[in-house]
Amino acid sequence: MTSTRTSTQTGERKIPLARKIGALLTAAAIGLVPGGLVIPAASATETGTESGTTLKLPLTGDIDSLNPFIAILATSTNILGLQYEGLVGYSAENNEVIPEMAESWETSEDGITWTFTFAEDRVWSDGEPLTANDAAWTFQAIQENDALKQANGSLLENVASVEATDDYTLVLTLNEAQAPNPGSVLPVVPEHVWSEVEDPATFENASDAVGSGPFTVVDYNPTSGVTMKANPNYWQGEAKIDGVTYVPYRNGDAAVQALLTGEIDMINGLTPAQFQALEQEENITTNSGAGRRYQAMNINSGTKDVDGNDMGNGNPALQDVELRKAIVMAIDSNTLLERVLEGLGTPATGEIPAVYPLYHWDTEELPYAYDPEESNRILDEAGYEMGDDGVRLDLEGNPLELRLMGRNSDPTHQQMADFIIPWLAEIGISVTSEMKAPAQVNDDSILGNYDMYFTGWGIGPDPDFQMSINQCSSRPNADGTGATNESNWCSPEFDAIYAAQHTELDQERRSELVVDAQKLIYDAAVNNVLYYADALEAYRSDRFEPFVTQPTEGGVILGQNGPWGIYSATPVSSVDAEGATATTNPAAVILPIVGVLLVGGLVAFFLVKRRRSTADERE
Amino acid sequence: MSAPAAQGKRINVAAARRRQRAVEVWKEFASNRAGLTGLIILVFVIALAALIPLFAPPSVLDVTQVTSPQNDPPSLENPLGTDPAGRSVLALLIWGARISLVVGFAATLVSMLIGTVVGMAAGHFTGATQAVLMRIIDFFLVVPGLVLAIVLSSVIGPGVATIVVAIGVTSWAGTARLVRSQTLTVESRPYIERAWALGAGDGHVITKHVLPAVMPLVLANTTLTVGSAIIAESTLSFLGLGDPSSISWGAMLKSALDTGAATGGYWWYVMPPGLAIVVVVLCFTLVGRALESVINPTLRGR
Repeated sequence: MTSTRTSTQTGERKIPLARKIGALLTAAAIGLVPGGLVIPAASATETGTESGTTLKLPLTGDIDSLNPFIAILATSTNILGLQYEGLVGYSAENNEVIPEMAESWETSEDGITWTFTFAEDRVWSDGEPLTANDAAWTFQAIQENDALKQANGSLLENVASVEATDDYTLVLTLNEAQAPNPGSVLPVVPEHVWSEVEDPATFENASDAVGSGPFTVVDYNPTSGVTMKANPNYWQGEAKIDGVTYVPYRNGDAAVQALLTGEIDMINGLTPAQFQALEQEENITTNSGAGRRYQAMNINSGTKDVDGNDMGNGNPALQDVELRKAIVMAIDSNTLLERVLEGLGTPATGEIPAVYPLYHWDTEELPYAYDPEESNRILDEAGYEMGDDGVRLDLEGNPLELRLMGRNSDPTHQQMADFIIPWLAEIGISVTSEMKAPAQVNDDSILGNYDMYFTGWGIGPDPDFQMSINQCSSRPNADGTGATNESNWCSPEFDAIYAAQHTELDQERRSELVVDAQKLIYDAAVNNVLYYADALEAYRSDRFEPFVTQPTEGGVILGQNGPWGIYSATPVSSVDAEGATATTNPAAVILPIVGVLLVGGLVAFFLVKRRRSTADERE
Repeated sequence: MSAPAAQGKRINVAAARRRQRAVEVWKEFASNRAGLTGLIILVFVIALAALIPLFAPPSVLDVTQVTSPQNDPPSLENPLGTDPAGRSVLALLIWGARISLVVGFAATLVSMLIGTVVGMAAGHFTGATQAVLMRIIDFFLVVPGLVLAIVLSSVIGPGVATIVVAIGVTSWAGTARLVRSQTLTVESRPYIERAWALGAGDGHVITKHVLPAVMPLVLANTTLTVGSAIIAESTLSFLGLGDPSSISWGAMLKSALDTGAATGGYWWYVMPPGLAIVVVVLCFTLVGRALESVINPTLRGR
């Protein structure tokens, strides 16, 4: 506050004749600043008194739908994960498959027939009995109606028939044996509600929903957010809080300020700077959980469509695996982790993060670790001659000039490009970076319109899906529709390993196969995994007891495979709501206001927030 | 022998008159202390931006070569602290001035060229030409410039040239209006009528009489427009529509917002680019106002 005032006053003294302008600026600055200070404080006292029974979370992403057959964006599926259950779930301790809606299950010797047994006393949130018929109805609805396949149709591709042999037994017959449990992930909906709906595909399901998970949606409105209440009939016991509300925030700093003033109780997706600032705060506990997401730089090895025809405008020089290896060896991913993420992550090997030890490729010695001299030697040997201007020529005599694409919504992409451009210049490759809107990056990456780009996927407990999108059959049509390929690369050798792990029922053997599959991708140098970023979270420890993390050791609270983190919310018995308002750092409120004021006003500000909203929803 | 001498003398007279007028303008300008202060600061900033490679080579901006800690508060080594990558904020600020100023001037040039040409045409011609030109000017006056610039930038793709075009194309309408009214004033004067009577064509009247008469006004307006072009550049860069790998003041503010510098309390990364924008834009405004009052004496004393 002081610094702002002093600077405008000095401005006035220096230029006495510009009184009009000076006065205008001072008025604008002083007029805005108290407003910025007062608003959060006022709303904090309003909401502070009733807190403790409702967990308030920021809604930073977009919600495409709350219909579980349709919703694909991460924010929506996270909310629906609190409302619906699969036949089986993933444990909070270590992501193992555990009973959820089904009490137990059996697999036939040949892996074709899966029999799920339901408990007899379960009911939906509205008190109606929950039986195997609900699951059978859900599965059959997806199989019979193409419009319901959008979200989870691919999970049932291998399912030949579904039958509820009695109220408490569900039998799934598969086309061929598979290792991943066919009852995971897919949310089961209540038949007595959904069979009454005229068209399940267009049903909004956005108010007074009926579910079997720990919380159900009371109402949803894009401007006011999502309100959920605890399900009194949840089979593991009613949650200790009355409900969960998601309050829309379009900007990370705004959500952090809301956490400081007590308008919300928990936040995730923090930047390292925000995380470190919150670490200093009393009443707030930070959690740096091992992320289930990998960050990679993908290299276009020659995109082809599903019929094998060339697609996109990738530099043909990158079809040489030696060049790709040299690029990987010129990038020091440990420095990126230290300098861009300030060390808040884990060094990476393959695509499956260390948080899933069953399938993670655990090695200290990566074949293509950072080694610029070796990288230069490989290029010399492969015949990439150095030009006069320090840029090598490709095998056809053209200068090696590559594009590096990233999302303009993710600050780390440009920060990483700032490192990678000089590193690659050191081995004689000239790189220009282009940061684009997230939707544009998605389109260009599918169509192969890139040389290199930053990508990242959130990985589920079972690696089958992530591996499956590297198959030759999982390539897009010529117009970009149809399947997506992770790296626009495929090989018959990989397809064979994928098929083997898909049907391997022995866990140890399957783990080996999945690691082998990751090594194949690594050796092709098409998807250079840089690091696994930690999920940076913080919550009001003056209002809530520590949460359950997944996995128990160093895991995450929000963004789990399952509802356990939010379900575990336990209010601190004596809530000091007044104390919540005292912790606001005045500088932290003034600085963004000054910055925004100087740059062009609130219109611009809202626009950037809108643009951000589409960011990084890819799962 | 005598003819060239006489001619030389004539030229000298004209030159002397011009010199005399220039001295008068300078005296009038210098008597405006606010304008003079603005000019001195601007010259200092421009000199600093032009000479920075001598003090701080581009390698100080190479993140792989910096050794300072990240987000370090101001110290003797880094007078304005460091950014999230460990680069000196002072070096970023001065290097950023280059892009901000170049874009400001280039965009203004584009805007002035379009504005002057269209404005003179709209004032000079009558009938259908004028009606069409006026509607085009009206269109660009009512279209929200920032929104149009954002749309243009996303269509052409991010980059410095894009920003120059986007600002230039959206900010010329005001100038065109101004130039048109001056053109109308000039053309109603008797000496233009005399020129017509002597058989002057459109080209002659526009280039020999109207253009010299509107130029001072355009110059004063240019100085004012540079300021708003710098703000527009910062805004577009802040929205992520600039060249992400080049450093400008708006891009610094964007990076500060994205990395949560405000929440982290790293004021040394938020304040300097913001204050730099304010100071430079203020100086351009002061100089522009002073120039205006020199050209248009009725503004003096207000």
